[in-house]
Amino acid sequence: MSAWWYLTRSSGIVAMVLAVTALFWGLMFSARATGNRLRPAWWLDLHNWLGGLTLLFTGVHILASFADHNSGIGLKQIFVAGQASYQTTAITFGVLATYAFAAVVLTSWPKLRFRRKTWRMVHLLSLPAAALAGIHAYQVGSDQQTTLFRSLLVILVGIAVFPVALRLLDLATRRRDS
Amino acid sequence: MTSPSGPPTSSSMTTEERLARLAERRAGNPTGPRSAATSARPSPSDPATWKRAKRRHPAKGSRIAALGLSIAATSAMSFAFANADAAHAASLKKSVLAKIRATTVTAVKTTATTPAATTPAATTPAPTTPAATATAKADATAGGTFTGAVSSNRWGPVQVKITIAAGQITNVRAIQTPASKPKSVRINDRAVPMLKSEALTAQSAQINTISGATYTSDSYALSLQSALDAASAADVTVA
Repeated sequence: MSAWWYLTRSSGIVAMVLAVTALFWGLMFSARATGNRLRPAWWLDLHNWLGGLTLLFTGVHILASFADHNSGIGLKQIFVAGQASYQTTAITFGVLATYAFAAVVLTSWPKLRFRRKTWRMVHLLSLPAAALAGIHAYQVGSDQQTTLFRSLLVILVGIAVFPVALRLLDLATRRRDS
Repeated sequence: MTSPSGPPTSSSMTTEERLARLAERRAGNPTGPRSAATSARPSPSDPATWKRAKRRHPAKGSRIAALGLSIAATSAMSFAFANADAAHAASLKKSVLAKIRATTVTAVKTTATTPAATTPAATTPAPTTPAATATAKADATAGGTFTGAVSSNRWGPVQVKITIAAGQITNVRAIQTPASKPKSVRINDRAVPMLKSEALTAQSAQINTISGATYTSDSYALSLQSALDAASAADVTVA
């Protein structure tokens, strides 16, 4: 039994949880629903950190699957979408989600170098990226049939959908008021 | 409108006063509550102020907590997966061994010395009688073909047939694999050749699990072990 495989599974799940948490933090921040108890700077700082951690654990997930000689994942499968010999669609989703997360995180570090609109458009990629990561996890994950994993996915979907709805309502309210 | 005493607060200032204050700040003459912060800005030419220029992280504690939690969760899940797999393999092994005991030997052995006997029809798995086992023992020296017990898992049955010649496993063929879903077929199309390669390399049932095909791997190993047990019962051993 390969230890790399266990690491692949666990780091993938943790990366997905981190991605959804970062999404939640960012959307709550942008919807100005952070309350008064904690400063906006705190929310933003933690959001940035969670985004970075998501990318870090996604990297661990990819490296572990590469190191596991039974996974069938090589450099080509990691970097080029649609190259996996099995579960092609689901692994392609994972590759695309990784690229999107990388773009979101890396463009946030030198954020000021980008035009606000450009940065915003790239940043919005985190939404489809999280969805792709979720589908990837559900389709490829070895634990997809376990109740715990399914429950976790349902909870994560709920956590992701709530701030999205909040943000959309916030946008609608602002447009109506302006 | 201004407050009767003390410095003016932002809510008590008129728009004109605010604009005047802003203009003063922009002109480099800061006044009011922010003047201290402005004057504390680090100077690039003064090394003493460099430390203050370091970026501050308001959520430093939470950052450390998030990192720690993530690492702990990854480690804990890795251990949990390992333990769950070990428990799963143990339960499968137990059930297969129970089946083996119940049927004495579930494999049909045919010797290599009789080529006709190695045809698929001749090696169809069926409960063997003591007489058949005794015949197998008599012809055991040159090896033979042995069919392992069916090891079922949540995705379906797995059964392998092995060929032993001169004390070596020369071929392993999966005669049953889970095929109830297209996904299972896709997974096993990839996993079964790898499992065969693992078995031929290991020359035993101690094979690595194939990622993404855990259940098939465990069942494959157990069916392989039962085939080896059947061979052993017929005095055909793998060196």
